[in-house]
Amino acid sequence: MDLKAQTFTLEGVAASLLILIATYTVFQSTVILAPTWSEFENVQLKQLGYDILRIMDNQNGENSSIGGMLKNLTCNNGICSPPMEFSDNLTKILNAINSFARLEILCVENGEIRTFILDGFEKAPTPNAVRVSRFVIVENAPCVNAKVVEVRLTLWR
Amino acid sequence: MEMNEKGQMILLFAAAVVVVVLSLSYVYAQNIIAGIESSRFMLAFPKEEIRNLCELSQQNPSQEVVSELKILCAKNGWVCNVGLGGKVEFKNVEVDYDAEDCRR
Repeated sequence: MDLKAQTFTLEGVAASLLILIATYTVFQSTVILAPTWSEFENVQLKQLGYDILRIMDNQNGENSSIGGMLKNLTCNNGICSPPMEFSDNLTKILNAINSFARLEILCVENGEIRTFILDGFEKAPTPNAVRVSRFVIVENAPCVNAKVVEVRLTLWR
Repeated sequence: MEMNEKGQMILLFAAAVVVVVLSLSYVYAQNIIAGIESSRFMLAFPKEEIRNLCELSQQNPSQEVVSELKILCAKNGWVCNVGLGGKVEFKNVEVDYDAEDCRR
């Protein structure tokens, strides 16, 4: 009787050890991929950036649109001044989403890429900034001697 | 003889429980990884860039526009091409998109 009980105890201990080891292995081998909050914030900010460029690339927007801005740029040593309406428009949008921005225009001239920085939006971005861009076909732009430009918006909070 | 059989049954059931626990844990981990990877891919998919190229293709871009566009895309690490009738090609490290008519 005693021997039987001791054997059951031993078997029970062995069984519990087996389950314990298996549970330990499961917890040790579980892959935890937890996206951080900043990752979601970056995705949201990037989408806001795309939306800003989309609404500002408006054929009927005149000087407050990207097309109007390109036609009325005044450039000096790589720094370009956009029309007041464009600057005001973009500043209001940025204030509404509590963000800062750097705006650049890239184009191809004689096979080389040139970059123009827009006056008023020339701040250096922080390391957690996001970058969005939009290609726009240009016609008769005084500063930009190209057929298509990339309007590059760097956003951060 | 009877005593040994009963003892083995306890271990046998423990082993069965272990197999079930490990299998469920494997399936659970696979589900989590698949969910995270698919949602990350959806977030990383360059839909706005492709939409932009699609809009450009509908503006009847000249050969000059296309060649400048290719250079600008290359600066961003993309391979782009647009043609008449909504033809759009966009490639980056994750996506290989090629549409004869992007409007469809």
